Amino acid sequence: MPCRIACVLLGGYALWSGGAVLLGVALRNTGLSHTDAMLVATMLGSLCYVGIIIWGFAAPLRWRPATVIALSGIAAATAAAWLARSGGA
Amino acid sequence: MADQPNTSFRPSMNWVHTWAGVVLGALLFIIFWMGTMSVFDREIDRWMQPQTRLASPAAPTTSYDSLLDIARAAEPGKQLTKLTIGTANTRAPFATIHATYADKTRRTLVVDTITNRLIPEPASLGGTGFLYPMHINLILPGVWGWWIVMFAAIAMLLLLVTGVIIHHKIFADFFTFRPEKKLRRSSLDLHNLSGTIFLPFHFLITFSGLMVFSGWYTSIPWYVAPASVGEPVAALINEADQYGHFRREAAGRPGGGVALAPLVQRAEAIWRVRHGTATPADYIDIDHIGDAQGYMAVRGNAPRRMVSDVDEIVFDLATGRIVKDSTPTTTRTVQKWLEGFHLVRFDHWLIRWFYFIGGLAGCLMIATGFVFWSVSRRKRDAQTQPLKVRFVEALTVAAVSGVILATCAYFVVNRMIPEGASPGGFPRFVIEVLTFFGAWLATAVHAGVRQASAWKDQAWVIAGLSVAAILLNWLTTGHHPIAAINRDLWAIVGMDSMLLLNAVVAIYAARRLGQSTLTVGDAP
Repeated sequence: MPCRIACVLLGGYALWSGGAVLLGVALRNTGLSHTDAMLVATMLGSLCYVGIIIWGFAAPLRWRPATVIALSGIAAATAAAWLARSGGA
Repeated sequence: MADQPNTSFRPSMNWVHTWAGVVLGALLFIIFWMGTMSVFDREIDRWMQPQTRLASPAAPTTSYDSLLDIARAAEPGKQLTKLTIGTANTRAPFATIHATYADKTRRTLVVDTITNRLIPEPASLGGTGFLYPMHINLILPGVWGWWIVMFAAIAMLLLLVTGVIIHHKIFADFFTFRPEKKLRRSSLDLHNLSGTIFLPFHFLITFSGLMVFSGWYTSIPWYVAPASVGEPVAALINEADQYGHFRREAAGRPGGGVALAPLVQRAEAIWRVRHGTATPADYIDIDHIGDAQGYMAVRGNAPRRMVSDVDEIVFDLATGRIVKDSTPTTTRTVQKWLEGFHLVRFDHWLIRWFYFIGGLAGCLMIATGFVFWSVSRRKRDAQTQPLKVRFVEALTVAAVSGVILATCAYFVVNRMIPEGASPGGFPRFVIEVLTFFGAWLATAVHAGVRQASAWKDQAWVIAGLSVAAILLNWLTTGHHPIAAINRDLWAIVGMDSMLLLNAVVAIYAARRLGQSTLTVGDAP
C-alpha cells in the first residue's frame, strides 16, 4: 500500500512538473513567451495533479494506475530534463 | 468510513477524503487559521504595535524627497545607496522605509506621513511579521515550508473535489444543521454545511494560493533546468525584466538629483488614464542613489482592482525620463488576478470581511471534520487501540483549539510586556513567538492527558484569554472600544470586537462540549 501511494503522489508530481515543461515548450512554440507559456502550463498542471491523484486512488488503489502514473512521471521528467540540458527548454 | 480503498469509485474517494483529511487536517487548519488572521494582518499590527495607531491620512501627504532626507539623517555620515518605501494607506497610515547604506548597513524606519516624524520601530512582529509568514511557509527555514504548504494546498483541492464526489445529497447539505442531535451528527452537519456553502470560495482561494507562489514549486521547469545550460537563464532574466524586475549596474560617477515627488505623480497620472481609476503608488524602489545610473521604480496598486501589482514605471533619476513602463500580457494579468484574489491587496471592506468569514468557514469545515472522525473512532478503538486514540485526540485538539489558544496567548503576552522592555534580555518579539509555541505545545500535552475533556477546558481558556486581551489593551493604551471609535481607530475596534466574539463562541462551545456529548459512549 505505501509503495502504491508513493507511486501516485510522487509519480503524479513528476508528471505535473515534467509535463509542465513539455506543455510549456509546446505552448511557447505556438508564439507565447517563455514565462507566459510556463504560467499556463503550471496553472493547468496543478489541476491535472489533483485529477491524477483522484484517478490513482479511484478504482481501486491497485498497481495498474499507480504504475502508469509512476512510469509516465518518470518519462515526463526525463524528457523535460533532456530538453533543458539540450537548451530546448 | 472505510479503512481500505473500496472497489468502487465513491467508497474509494471516501477513503481518500478521510485519510487525506486525517493526515493533513492539522496542517490545513493551521494554514487556514493563519490565512484567516492574515486577512486583517495590518489591523492586527496596529493592535499589537500601539505606536502605529495613527489617524488615517485623508489624502497622501508624503513628501518622498523628505523621506530620503529622513533616511540620510538616520545614519549620519553614511552614504545612502538604496531605499524602498511602502507608502501610507488607509490600513497602514504610515510609510515604511527600508534603507541600505554603502557599508551594507540596513535600517527599517517607520514615518508618520502627516508630521514627517520617525515612529519608534515596532518591536513586535504583529500579524504581518508572524501570522502571515506562518500562513505562507510555516516559518520553516529554507524552502521546506513553501513545499509543505504547496502539498497542503494540493491536498485541500483534493479534499474539496473528493468531498463533492462522496456527497449523495449535496443540495440538501445547504439546509441541514441539527444542533440538537448528538455531537457526531451535528459536527458532520456543520462540516457539510460550511463545506458546501463556501465551496467556490474555498476552491478558488486554495487554487489561487497555489498559483501565487507557483515559481517556487515549479522550480524544475522555471529555474533549475535552465540554470544547467546557462544561456536560457539570461533569457529568463530578460523576460523577468518585462515583468517588473528592472535592474541595472551603477555607473560609479555621481549623478541623479531629480525631485522624486513629480515623478511619482506622473506615474499615478499615467495609471489613472490607463485604468480609468485612481491608482496610487504603493511601493517605491530607489536604487543607486547619487549615482549617474540611479533609478526609481514606482509600483501602483488600484485600491478597487482585483489585479495585484502589475503596474510598474521606472524613471531615470538623472534625467527624469521613463526607462521602463511595463504592460502585462494577458496571461500575466490572469496570474496577477489570482494573486490579487488571494493576497487581498484591494481596499474594499465588505469583501475583506467576506474573506474573513469564508476563512473561518474553512476552519470550521476542517475542525468539524476532525471532530466527526475522532468521535466516530473513539468508541470503536478506545478499548483495542487506546494509545492510537489518545494520540489522534491530542493531535486534533492541539491542531484546532490549541492553535486558537496559542494565538490568543500571543496577543495577551504582547499587551503584558511594557513598551521598550526586553524580559530576560530577549527581544520582545522572541518572547511573543516563544509564548505562542509554548502555549501550543502545552495544549498538545494537556490534550494527551485530558483527552476528550481537553476541548472543553481549552475553550474556557480561549474565552478567558480573549477577554484578557481586550482588557489589557484598554489598560496599557487607554484605547477601550468607545475611545477607539472616538479616535477613528477602527482597526482596534474591529480587533477588540473579534476577540469578544471569539470569547462568546468559545463559551458557547465550552458549554456545548460540557454537556457530556463528547464521551466514549457517543454514538450516532
